[in-house]
Amino acid sequence: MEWETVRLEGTEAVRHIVLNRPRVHNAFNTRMLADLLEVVAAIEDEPRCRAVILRGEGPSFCAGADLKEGGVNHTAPLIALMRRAKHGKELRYRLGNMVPVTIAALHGHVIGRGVSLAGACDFRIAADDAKLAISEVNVGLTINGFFGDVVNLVGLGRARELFILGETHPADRMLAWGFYDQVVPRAELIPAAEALAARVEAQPPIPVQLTKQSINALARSLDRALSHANPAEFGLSARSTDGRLAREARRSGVPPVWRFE
Amino acid sequence: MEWETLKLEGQGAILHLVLNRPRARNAVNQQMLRDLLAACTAIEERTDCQVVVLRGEGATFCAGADLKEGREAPDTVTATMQRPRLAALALQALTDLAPVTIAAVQGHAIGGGCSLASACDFRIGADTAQVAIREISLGFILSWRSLPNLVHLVGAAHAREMALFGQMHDAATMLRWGFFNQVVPEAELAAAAQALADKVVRQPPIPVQLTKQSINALVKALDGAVFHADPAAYALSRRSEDARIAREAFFDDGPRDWRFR
Repeated sequence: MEWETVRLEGTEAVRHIVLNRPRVHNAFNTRMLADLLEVVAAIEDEPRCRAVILRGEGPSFCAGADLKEGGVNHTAPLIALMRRAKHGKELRYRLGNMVPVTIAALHGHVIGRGVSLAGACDFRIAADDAKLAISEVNVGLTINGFFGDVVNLVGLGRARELFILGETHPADRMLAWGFYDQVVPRAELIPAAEALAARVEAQPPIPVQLTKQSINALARSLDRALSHANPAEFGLSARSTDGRLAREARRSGVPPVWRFE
Repeated sequence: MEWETLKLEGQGAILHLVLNRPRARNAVNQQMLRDLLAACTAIEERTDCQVVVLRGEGATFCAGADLKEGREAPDTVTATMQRPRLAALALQALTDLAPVTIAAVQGHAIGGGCSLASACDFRIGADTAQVAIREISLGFILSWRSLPNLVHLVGAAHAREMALFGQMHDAATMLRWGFFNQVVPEAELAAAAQALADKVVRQPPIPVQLTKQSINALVKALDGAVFHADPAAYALSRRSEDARIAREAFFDDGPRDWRFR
């Protein structure tokens, strides 16, 4: 099977999901959401798959949501905006609940939606050139459904810093904070991911599956419930005047004067 | 729109999702689960849809999981766990649909059929409807992570009664226990579903959808987490020696000689 924005490669035991929009740093659009949902479903039909490596073609892992899509000022009808946000959350659940162990191999830009994908995986290995930012607030938007993963990995204080301030962080800091499990030179990224996959393969499949699911259930138990209003929050923020001002300020470089609406 | 085992009918505010295997009494097989996922995706794209009526073609709403398929399926532990996992995903998609869902139940809603009906926001029963969870009679559990929905509707005590004894319960009992919102003569079932759908359509869609989601989020907050191991529990029970004894003794009324393994 083939998809427009994603490739599925690898061996029977270790599959690679490769984000494949390299000219736009794998910016995440509606097509990529649909393709990833299909790829995840396809892998669930492969009972001998033990590990999945999620990585990006080209200079970056994923530079976040494709801002060109959906209109820069999010002028789509409110229900359509909310519906899109809801589907974004769905991908995070499906990816997070996959039977095989998932390993994100991260390089270049790891932004916004890219951080969500990385957080949904069981492990994260980064290249030393990886630059991470959760930039939704910067452009007047809110997060969909991945607060829990980030808080679980880096703790509440650092999670607030990441989400509220939206700044860019180098690989060694994200390693120290616990978001990454390993940082390696760029050329060693895929070998390091495959080495981790090999260590998983050496463990017996059923206890691995069941243990992964128990850990995820515990750590993510209330995620679904607590993020149920994320699409509404997204709609409200996206449509706000200050949201529009934030996006204009990024283009013009002129600091905005907030209107509180 | 049509899939192999389902049809989606209607336009605009009210859609009908129809289980379409009448010769198999709408028994749920793997194809129906995949079709259900696809149908839910299609429904979510219809942003003008406010209500979905779920009904079964023919005399029976749904007689449960396709037992023949279950008997003939590969019986490795991992394959046995994959089936309820797929079913849980499909049921979650149905539960999470943005439009309000109304199950119109005639004839039997057994096992998986009960699960499908429980996943909807409202249930209207024909006076001839009968509901049961009979998996225990075959030596295994109601899996699909669907027991929580039943507990939310009828309470733990009645849910225990249904799940532990596997008996059929009539429409009047199911109304009294809170499973059905209404019970009507069978000839009036379609009209009753239409009348309830019309009531929903008269309400403004955004607060309806937000309210539905928040109620579901609250009531079902820990369901997925607590039942994350349903597939494993199903595999364990199905492969027990007592399950074989239960199957063999299914048609005879004599005492069972349980082996506790």
